[in-house]
Amino acid sequence: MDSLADFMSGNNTKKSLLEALQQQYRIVDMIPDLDDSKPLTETITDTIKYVTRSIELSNDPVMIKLYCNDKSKKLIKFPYFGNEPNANRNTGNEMAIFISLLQTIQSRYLKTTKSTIRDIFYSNVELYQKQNNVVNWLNIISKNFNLSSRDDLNIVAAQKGLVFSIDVPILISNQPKNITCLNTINLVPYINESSIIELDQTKFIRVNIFEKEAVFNKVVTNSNIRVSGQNTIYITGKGFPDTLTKLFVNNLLQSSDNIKIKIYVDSDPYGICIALNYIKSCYSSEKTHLLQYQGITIIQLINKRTQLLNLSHREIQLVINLIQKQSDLTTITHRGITLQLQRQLFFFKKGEMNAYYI
Amino acid sequence: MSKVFIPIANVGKAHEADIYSVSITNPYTVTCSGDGKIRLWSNKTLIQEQTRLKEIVLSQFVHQTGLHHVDVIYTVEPHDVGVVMIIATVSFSGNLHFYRFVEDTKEFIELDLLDSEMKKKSFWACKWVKSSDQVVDHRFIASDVKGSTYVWRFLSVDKIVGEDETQVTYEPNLHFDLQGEIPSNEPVFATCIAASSSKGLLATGFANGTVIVSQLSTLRPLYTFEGIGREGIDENSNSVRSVEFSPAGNLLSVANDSGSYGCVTLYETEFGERIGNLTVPTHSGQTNIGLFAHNGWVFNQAFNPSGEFIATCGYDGKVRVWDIKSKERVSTLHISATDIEIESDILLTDENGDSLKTPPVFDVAYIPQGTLNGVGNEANEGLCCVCMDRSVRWFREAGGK
Repeated sequence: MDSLADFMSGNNTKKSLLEALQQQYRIVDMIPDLDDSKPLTETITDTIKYVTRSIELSNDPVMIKLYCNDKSKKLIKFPYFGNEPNANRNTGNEMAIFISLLQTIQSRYLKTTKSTIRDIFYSNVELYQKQNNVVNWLNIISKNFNLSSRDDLNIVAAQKGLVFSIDVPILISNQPKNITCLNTINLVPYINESSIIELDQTKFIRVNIFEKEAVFNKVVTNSNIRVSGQNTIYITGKGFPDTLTKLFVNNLLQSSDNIKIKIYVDSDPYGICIALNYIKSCYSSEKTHLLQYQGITIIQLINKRTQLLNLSHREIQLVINLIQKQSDLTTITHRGITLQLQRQLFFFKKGEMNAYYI
Repeated sequence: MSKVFIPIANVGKAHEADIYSVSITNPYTVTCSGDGKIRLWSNKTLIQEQTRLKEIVLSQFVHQTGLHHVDVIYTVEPHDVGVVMIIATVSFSGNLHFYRFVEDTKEFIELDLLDSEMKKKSFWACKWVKSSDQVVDHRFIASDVKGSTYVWRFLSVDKIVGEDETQVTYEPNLHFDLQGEIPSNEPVFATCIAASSSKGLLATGFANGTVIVSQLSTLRPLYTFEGIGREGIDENSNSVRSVEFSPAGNLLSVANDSGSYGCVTLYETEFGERIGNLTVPTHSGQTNIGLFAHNGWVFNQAFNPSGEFIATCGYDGKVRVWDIKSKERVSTLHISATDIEIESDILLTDENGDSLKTPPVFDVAYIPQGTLNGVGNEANEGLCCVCMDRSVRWFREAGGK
């Protein structure tokens, strides 16, 4: 091996010396495969083969170039050398995460089973450290493979939302069978943007969304549900709804014109945030009016003589910000929401929807 | 002895959203609402123009987030400044807005009275403190959501002293001079403020049930009243909603929650002692729960100009008038959404489907003698209230003096 003196004599300028001292990497360039005919599994198998071979068989360090989109690239170096700008980051780990995820994706693909991000995270907590790391890396991988959605990797977010109905079967076009059972509480089924929910167009269908799982349970287990719950689908997102629940609500809305969705949330700024979350996720603007904020309003709680709590300083700020964002919208639903926010602040009180369902 | 108030005018759907505050000046009744507008209703033509009040009302759009407090100063200033009417209003975004209203031209001129540092604060309540003494300046007070109270002196002229120091000239210039801030120890929502120019006192009410009375000249806190209301109930259920000084400044009336009921407590301001409560008799064996003034939160209160009576309004859709001396109620006005004169302006439910049949009364103001026009109206005092059914109602006392 050359000594430093050899390097210095061989390079006359500081710049060239620095370049000569830099570690030479063997680059694995992961240019997205434009050939759509090649199945994803094959691409993954090839990638794993190349990368592991480079690491195992060659003495050179390896650098993988991933393409997140047209502009940004992600470089993974293994092993890690020198004083790099982001020295805290364990780049060796990145390589391990990348390969481990690829292997997982491949094995799931072969089995054609779906698994949740949470399952994958718990399969190797020491390596992934945070669930968010798994999410980020899956996003990078799916972008690099030019996939339209992360869900194509057969790894999906865990279902959070619940759905219940006594007499409305929920059939999904590209799913093998009817996923939700009548009369039992089901997890919101796995769907994607292209799924179409098939509902009976002749019937008027009501959809009631509850913020609180407790209220949802109370309503669907009520003995009166056989009468009052006809032609109704009950949904809860358990607090802030996850992407799947929002997508499900949105698909329901697209599935029929004969539908009305009502959102029931707490009478506090977070409740309003949740309602807006559902409303904003509705991507066809001509159907937004079918999605309605329905309370529980602070007036309903006061009339019940509920003991209300004062808004905290943080919540006051949140109300002010929400009113500012809301104020330029003028639809009837938005006016109702603005009114509700103004009253919450004017009364400086908040209450939970559970109190209304005692 | 009871008093009788007769309705003299009302207007339904006076604004497009809830009306949160009302202020009375000699020429106009000023209301502000969640629709972001201030409206000026001419007091002199209330009865004559009853059917077209909404057509002749003067309106000014202020802020899209809506307005919740309004207060007006109407004064004649020396040194050729003349009549000054300035409307101060607070929007839900926390900004203070000032408009000078010119009566002759019916023009609203926006004034920029705050400095840039002050504009960053989130204000909540605001009040003018009108001084009847030429030597004492008018003041303007405002509270913010973090619990601080700010005091400004309001000056209508710049005093210019000539070179020889004998010649003094005055240049009209409406401006504020920040007197100072009463900071809060902890960030608790300062819900209401009041001040008495004659006694030089300032009171701030907080959401946790505390009232702090401070000296207006030094901004030093004098008394703190804590935990008013029912014992053993934590700070959430005795929030203070309104504080009000009597015109002479010797009494402070505090309206606070007692759970879902509303209490009114009177304090004398010399030593900060509690004088008593304004209560309605209840037919309950448990006397300790019966000490309330309204069967719902009390939102606001107003003393009459002589200080003998106080009007309170509440969530129960009632306005009550109390005799200060006997601490007994002398009149109760029951508000119903259906008593609006023009039927098409009756609003029975809001956008979210909540009933407004017995609308909560958000604010009440006393109308001094000589403000209204017409037989029997001029010689008597009156009341004006704004309700959740978006109505404004005017009453006057029956009989004559």
